Formats: sequence, C-alpha cells, structure tokens
Amino acid sequence: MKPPIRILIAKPGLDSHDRGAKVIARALREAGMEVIYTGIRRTPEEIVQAAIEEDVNLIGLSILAGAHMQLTGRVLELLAKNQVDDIKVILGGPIPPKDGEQLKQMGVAEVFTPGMRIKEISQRIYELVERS
Amino acid sequence: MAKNNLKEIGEKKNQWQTKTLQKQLESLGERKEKFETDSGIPVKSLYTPLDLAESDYLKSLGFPGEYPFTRGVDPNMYRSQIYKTAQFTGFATPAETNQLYRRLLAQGMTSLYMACDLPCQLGYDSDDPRAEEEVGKCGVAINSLLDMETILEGIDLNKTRVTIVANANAPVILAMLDVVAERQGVDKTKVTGFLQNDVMKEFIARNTYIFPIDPSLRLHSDTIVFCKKNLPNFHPFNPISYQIREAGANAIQEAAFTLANAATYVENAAKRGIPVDELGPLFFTIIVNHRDFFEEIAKIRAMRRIWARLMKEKFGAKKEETCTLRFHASQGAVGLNLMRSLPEANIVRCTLAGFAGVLSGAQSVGTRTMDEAYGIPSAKASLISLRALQIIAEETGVTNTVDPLAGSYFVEWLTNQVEEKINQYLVKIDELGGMVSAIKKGYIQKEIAQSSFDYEMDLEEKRKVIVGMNLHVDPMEEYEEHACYQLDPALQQDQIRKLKEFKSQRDQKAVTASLAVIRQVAGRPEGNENNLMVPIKEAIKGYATIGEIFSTLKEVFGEYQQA
Repeated sequence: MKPPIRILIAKPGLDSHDRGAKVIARALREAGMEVIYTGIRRTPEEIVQAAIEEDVNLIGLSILAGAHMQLTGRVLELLAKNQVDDIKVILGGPIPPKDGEQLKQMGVAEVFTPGMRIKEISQRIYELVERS
Repeated sequence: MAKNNLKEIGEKKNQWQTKTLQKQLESLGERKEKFETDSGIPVKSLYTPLDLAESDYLKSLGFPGEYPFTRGVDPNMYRSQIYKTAQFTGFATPAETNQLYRRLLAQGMTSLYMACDLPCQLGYDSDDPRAEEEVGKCGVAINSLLDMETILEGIDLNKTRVTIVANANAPVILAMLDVVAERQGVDKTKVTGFLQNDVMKEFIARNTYIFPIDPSLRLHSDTIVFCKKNLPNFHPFNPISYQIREAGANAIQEAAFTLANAATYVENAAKRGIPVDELGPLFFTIIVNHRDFFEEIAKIRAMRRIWARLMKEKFGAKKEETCTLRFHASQGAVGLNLMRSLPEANIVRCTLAGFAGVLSGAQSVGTRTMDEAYGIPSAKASLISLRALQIIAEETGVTNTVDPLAGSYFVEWLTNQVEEKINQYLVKIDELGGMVSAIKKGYIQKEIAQSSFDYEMDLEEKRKVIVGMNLHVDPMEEYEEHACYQLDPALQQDQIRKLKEFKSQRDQKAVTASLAVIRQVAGRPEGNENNLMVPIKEAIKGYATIGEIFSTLKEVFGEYQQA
C-alpha cells in the first residue's frame, strides 16, 4: 500500500482568515491524507522549513488578503534555493484569474478558488502527487 | 386570541391539511425532503395563530422604543430618521483614502467607515519587514498621528460620524482620533461614531489578536474609561457578529457568542467603575445579515429582546435606554455570501441583505459590494451599494411604518425559536464559567469549526445552494477580468518613504521617553490609576508610531499564540 499523501496547509502573511484553511485541512484529512496545519501568520521561510522538516508532498497555501503574488513567489523561490524539487505548491483563495495564470507559470501546480468542490480539490491533489 | 377561536382555527387547519394541502402533495409532492433555515431549524409549510398560542404580546413584543425592544429601539423608527448609510472602505495611503471619503460624503454618505491595513491592525509600521506586501492593501496604512490627520483632513468630526475597524490596535487609534479632534478644535462631546474594539472575537474568529486575552481585556477596559472621559458620545467599542459568522458560525452561534462577548465587556467595565447605566446608552453592535432572509430578521429581533432582558435582569440596568441593542446591519462578504461568478449578481445579494437589515430595524445599514469577492471595493461598486440602500429608503415604502413584519405568524414563531436556541448557548457558556473561560477552554472555537465544516459539506452535497456556484452553473461562463481596485505599488513605496522621512524629523528623545512611560505603566496592575490610554495618548502626540507603541507593550504583555 502506498503511504498517504502528506500536505502542509499554510497561511503566510498577516491575513488571519483561517476558515478556508481549517475546512480544507479537515476535509483532506477525512479524504485520507496526512495534514499538518501551520496556523496563521507564518513567514514563507517558516513554511518552507516546516515543509522540509515534515517531508510533505505538497504545500497548500491559503491566502485571502491580496498578497498572494509576492508570498507565493517567495515560497517558490525558497524551495528552489533549498534545491527542493519534490514538494509541489498549490494555492487556495480568491485569486484573480489573471494572477492564477501567472502563478502557474511561476511554478504553482494548481490554484483553487472559492466555489470549487472539496471532492474536486482532493481528487486533483491525488492526481498531482500520482503524476510526480 | 380568544381560546375558542384558536380551537376553531385548529379544526379548520386539520381540514385544510387533510383535504386541500393533501391534494397538492399527492399530485406534486414537495421539492425537498426537508425544509429548514440555514441554521437548521425545521420550517413547516404553513404558520397560523396556533403557532403563537403561547405568546404574550405585551410581554414579548410590546411597543417600539420600549422594553423589551423586540419591535425596535426607536418609537417612530424610519419615519423620523432614515437609517444611516456607511460603506466600509479605505485603502492605500492616507491621502488617497481622504479623497475617497470626501467623494462619498459629497454623494450623501453620512458616516465614514474606515478600514486599516493589516500591518496597522497588528501593530506594525509600514516599514516593518512583516508588513512587506501588505501596506495599504486591505485598508489604509496608518503609522502615526500625521497619517490620521491626513485621512481626516477637511472632514468635520462634529458633522461626520467616524467608524474605525480597529481591534487589537484600538487603543492607539482611539488616542489618534482624540488628538485629531482636539487639533480640529471641534466640540469633543459631539464627536460620534465608534471603534470596533471587540477584541474577544479576535480569539474565536478574526484572529487579528496581538496580546494574550487578559492584557487585551485590560486595554479594552482602558479604552472605555478613557472614552467616557474624553469623547463621551463616541462608542468606545461595538461588539460585532460579522467575523464570527464569517468564521463559519451559524446564525444562532453568531448571536449567542456576540451577546456573550458583549456581556463580558459590560461586566469588565463595571469592575472599572463604569455602571451599566452609563455604558448601556453607548452600546452599539454590528450584526451581519446572511442569506436566510427571515432567519436573519428573526435573529436580530430575538437579540434585541435577549439583550434587553440581560441588561435589566442580569446587570440590573435601571434606565430603559441601557437595554437597547442599537446596531449597524452589515452583510457577509467573501467567504460565504459573495460569488466571483457573474459579480453583478452580487448586487442582488447585497440589496437583499440590506433589505433584511432595514426590515430588522437597523440604525445604520451597509452592504458589501459586487466586487468584494475579488478585492477591496472599487469606488463605483461602493456607490452602487450606497444607491441600493437609498432606493430601499426612498422608493420602496418599507420605511413608512415601524417593524412591518411583526405579527407575521412565521416571523414571530421563528423569533421565538431563535431566541430559545440562543439562550441555550448562553446557559452553556455560563456553565463553562463565562465567555473568557469558554474561549480559553476552546469550546467556542470548536463549535464554530464544526458549523463551518457542516456548511461546506452541505454545499458540497447540494443540500444548500448558491446559485451559479453549485446550481445553475453556467458552463459557458468565462471569467472576465473584473475591474477591481489594484493598489499601485508606488503608493506603498511612498508611504514607507514618508514614514522614514517623518521618523528622522521628530524629537527622538521625547519619543523614547514616552515609550518608557508606556512600558512602566503596563508593568503595573490594571486599574484606573494605571490606564494605559494616558501614556499612549502622550506618545501619539509626540509622534511615536503604532509599531513603536505595540512593540513596547509586547515586551511586557507578550504575544498570543493560537493553541
């Protein structure tokens, strides 16, 4: 049997709206994943360090308050700097479509926006990890 | 209702059920297996006087402007004065925000409703490394007195109500407002409006806490005492249900937890020598209106009644005015209420929420804007929402009479149901030793998390519907790039540059000395003789920044860590 998917749900920046992060953390746990939730107000440095220490398959960033481009970019940069290439980064939040496209070009594996079903999200996560 | 009349109604109702209704049920059935409110109260197909058989009109409804205020806090409501309108906004730099406010005020807005950016809310200056990228994004950047003076330039504090969403940072923002009022030379007894300053809900919902809960509550009481003395007609705090709801609580929990927070503040203020009858009239809340139209109205009517009874029976209020729950009707935003798909459809959602607010007897009403699922409101979207509220006031006629839904069998029945369920929570919280203890035990947080998860699952399984999201989804829809407000990064740089310039020009020695006094007073026990607002105001006058004041306080109080 394959080991369960490990995912770090993280909230970078000062934005403290954690309803989405908590719901997703619980739903993914119920879908059979091992979920670690960082809590709010984490710096990209703390997130990347935790992801490496916890040896996760993915980092799921949850961002509500508009600083998604910079914060996500910083996480990607830090992963590259630490030569980590086996941790995928996914993002959830009210991300404008144009930014979503740009983030994918920057290396984000998937962007989930409000209204997406949790089943779809967890299925997509399974696909992302299977493919790697 | 006469007894024999009820008996006859009962018999006729049975006949109706077995004959008239049954016929339709046999041919069409019902659309859903069960009908219930958003919080899960089962709803019957029809309500009649039988559902209110136990109700005592004089005891539970009475007259508007009189105890228990179920029908409203003012006797003549909107016939004498239309609700105030305020759109929540503010962004970028103090100068930009000042321009926006002046434009909205010129358009008939009667209060300004200020959003601070996240660094300001958390006590960081714009040049703090943690503030990077967040400056001016969710609200206006405020670092020092200079910024507050710029924001309020040309706005007469005796004519415009000022509402500021400041919570953990409230002591500093209040001190700034007080100094600006002094410098404008206005009559400080005529400065009105309110600070949000509801720090308890930060620990259960909004999470923009700074210090642990006990010093946070000490600062809270300090602001109340200071306000009573310096700005006596300004509401020093307003318990708010909005973020509790947005964190995923249902209508019942939202109401119960907000009232429990409010009761805690009243208790604390009494300990600091402010009797309930002095604080009560300053009481003002923000209550959110969500999608379930009648449940939201029932919730607010029930809250008014519960609050009145709490104030009178528990806190011994003598004045009727003390027992009134005055409120601003707000609306749920991004998380639960507004959709990104076809954002113009949100205008309808905003209008309905505003309408529910008006029908519940709000003292002021504000709705969200169509573009808030994308970002902070653009000026045009704010104006459209303002227009919706003006249309409800001037065109629909619903403002012609007081509490027009009263007497509706359904609304009154639902008000009673909601009241009972809120009271059950209040009893439970008392059993846990009060709200502070219930929060420290994690009970409240757990209750909210469970509801939040259940709601998501209901959407997932389509037991609950959001049009365009899980029903009537338009497969052809292509997201148009919606023109929402984009912050110009040059403005962020400008704010940081100005801050640095400003810091280099002030009397640094005096700033350091004023911070030392704050540190000293913070180290002493809570009490009116050690009110931290006094040294904070002095530091503000000497141009100490938010970041400097809060890092000084953190040295003494530490920072809250979420469990």
